[in-house]
Amino acid sequence: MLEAFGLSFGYGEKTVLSEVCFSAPRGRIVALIGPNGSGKSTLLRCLRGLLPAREGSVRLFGRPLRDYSPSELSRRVAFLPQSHERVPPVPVCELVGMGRSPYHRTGWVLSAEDRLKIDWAIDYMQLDGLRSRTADSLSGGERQRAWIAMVLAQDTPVILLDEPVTYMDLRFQRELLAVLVDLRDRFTKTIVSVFHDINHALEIADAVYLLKDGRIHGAGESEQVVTESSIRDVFQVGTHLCRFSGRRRAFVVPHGIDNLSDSRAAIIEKGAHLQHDLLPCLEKGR
Amino acid sequence: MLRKRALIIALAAVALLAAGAVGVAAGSLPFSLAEIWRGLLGEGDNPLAKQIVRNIRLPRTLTGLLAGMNLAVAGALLQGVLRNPLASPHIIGVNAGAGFMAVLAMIVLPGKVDWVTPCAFAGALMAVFLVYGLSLASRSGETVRIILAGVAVSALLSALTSGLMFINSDNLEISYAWLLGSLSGRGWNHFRLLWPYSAVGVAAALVLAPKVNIFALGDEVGSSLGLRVKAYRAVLLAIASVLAGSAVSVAGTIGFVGLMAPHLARLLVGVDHRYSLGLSALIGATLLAASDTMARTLFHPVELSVGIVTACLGAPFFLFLLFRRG
Repeated sequence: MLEAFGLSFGYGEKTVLSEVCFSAPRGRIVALIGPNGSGKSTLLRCLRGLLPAREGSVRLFGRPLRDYSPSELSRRVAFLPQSHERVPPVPVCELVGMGRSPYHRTGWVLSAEDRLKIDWAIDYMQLDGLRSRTADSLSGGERQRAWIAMVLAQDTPVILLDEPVTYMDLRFQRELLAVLVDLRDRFTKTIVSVFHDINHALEIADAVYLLKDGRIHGAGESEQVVTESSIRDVFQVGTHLCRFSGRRRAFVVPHGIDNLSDSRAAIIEKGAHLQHDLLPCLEKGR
Repeated sequence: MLRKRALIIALAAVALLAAGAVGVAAGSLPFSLAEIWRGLLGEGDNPLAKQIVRNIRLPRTLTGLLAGMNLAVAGALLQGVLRNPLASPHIIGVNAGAGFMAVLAMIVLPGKVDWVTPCAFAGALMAVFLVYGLSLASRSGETVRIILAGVAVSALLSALTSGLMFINSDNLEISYAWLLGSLSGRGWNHFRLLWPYSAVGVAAALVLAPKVNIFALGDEVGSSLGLRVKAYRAVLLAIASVLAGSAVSVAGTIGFVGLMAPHLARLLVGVDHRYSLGLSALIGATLLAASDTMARTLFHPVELSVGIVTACLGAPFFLFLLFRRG
């Protein structure tokens, strides 16, 4: 459904992605994981055509991405970037309504179908009580729900999300993960999402792409890709892969931070005198 | 919500008509209302009233209304497209470009008053072109780069304008009055120059108002909603510069209307440009026409520069509204 072959991307001299092959089948959740700066968000933007691939191609329903007009593409793929520092002070219902803009030439008048889809998205994301509140006055979790509702109003078969659950509290994280699963199961949406937390990917993804330095380090079913050794390779962190009774998927639990590496201990030793202990000074002053 | 918006827009339209009517009725010669009305219709037995109302007050008031409307709509477009509440026509170089070319025309073509307006218009458009070109040359046409390029180009052109005025101090008073902004002596020829740009520009801005809304979501979300962000940004900037450039070239560099009217409109009906753009147009027109009436009647026989009145009238009111809403 959404595929990339030999995809490379870079800014000037710097290569961010090299020779990435990717495939997201219909009605599946595909997770992109990897350390900061490994190219996850860049890959997501290349898949939407927001960044131009240097080499390789992206295909949607078998057609190259560049054969689609902007509005055709926006009726097939929705994209939500990571953080929205700048939220416009528009009421939630208008924000969600902007999801309908790919279907309009001017956008002056909403059709009956638009209204139905906007109302459905607002109900589905449980925003009914917040309709006329402005987006900038919402809490982080509510705001993210409003953005997702906008994406749902866009009514696309493919949804690309960049760290949708980061910065949300535990309850909103669980609710949003459940929403993604429901969108896949009931509406056969294809969802490609960057996850900051490996466990979120393990929990809901059908396939996982593990990225390191702009390359695919591993791809496939989550349990095959995410192993103690692959995590150590990519993140340089020791972990246990744990199973709990009643949970279908494994969980990644990092080793404790009690054991300092020798190099870390040396750094602390070297700089110890630079961090003053203020307490004796304060007591003397009193 | 819709009803409240409609009511506010209707009230603003009434205010505009009132400002226009007062602009035509008020002046140094005390005609009766009947004389003014008959003069306006071209009837009546007072030829002086007929001449002053039809050939002096009416075109001046109409020019003021259009210039105010243009500046306000340009400001609203720029604030929306550049996602910056401080944006106004002067920030993309319109005022500085128009001012430089106007002062240059006054020096190079002394006495040829008719040339000042087209030269100023050309200057405004050239300045915007330069600003936009510079912002494109620096990797991508990001909004911050447009603003920074605009500030730099404006600073340079303003300095050159000051230099010109310093060297050629004979024209100092005329140049200075022009730079402050004035509708003094604006007649039908100015109105005829202005109205086609106002009509086309404001109509285009209103048609594209929903696109301006999408700019608020950022370039990436805008693109993913199918908006050709770069193309629309260029088109909307072009509309804003034609609107502001035509207004400034006719009425001089009037400040504050382009900044304040859109803010007032948003405070009243919210950020949705489908409503706030039209309301900005009405508020800007009313504000400038009313300011001009005050500028020429308050300290009669001395006529103030309308730019002084817009700022003195607008700034306190603006601050009041801003702080009242917290």
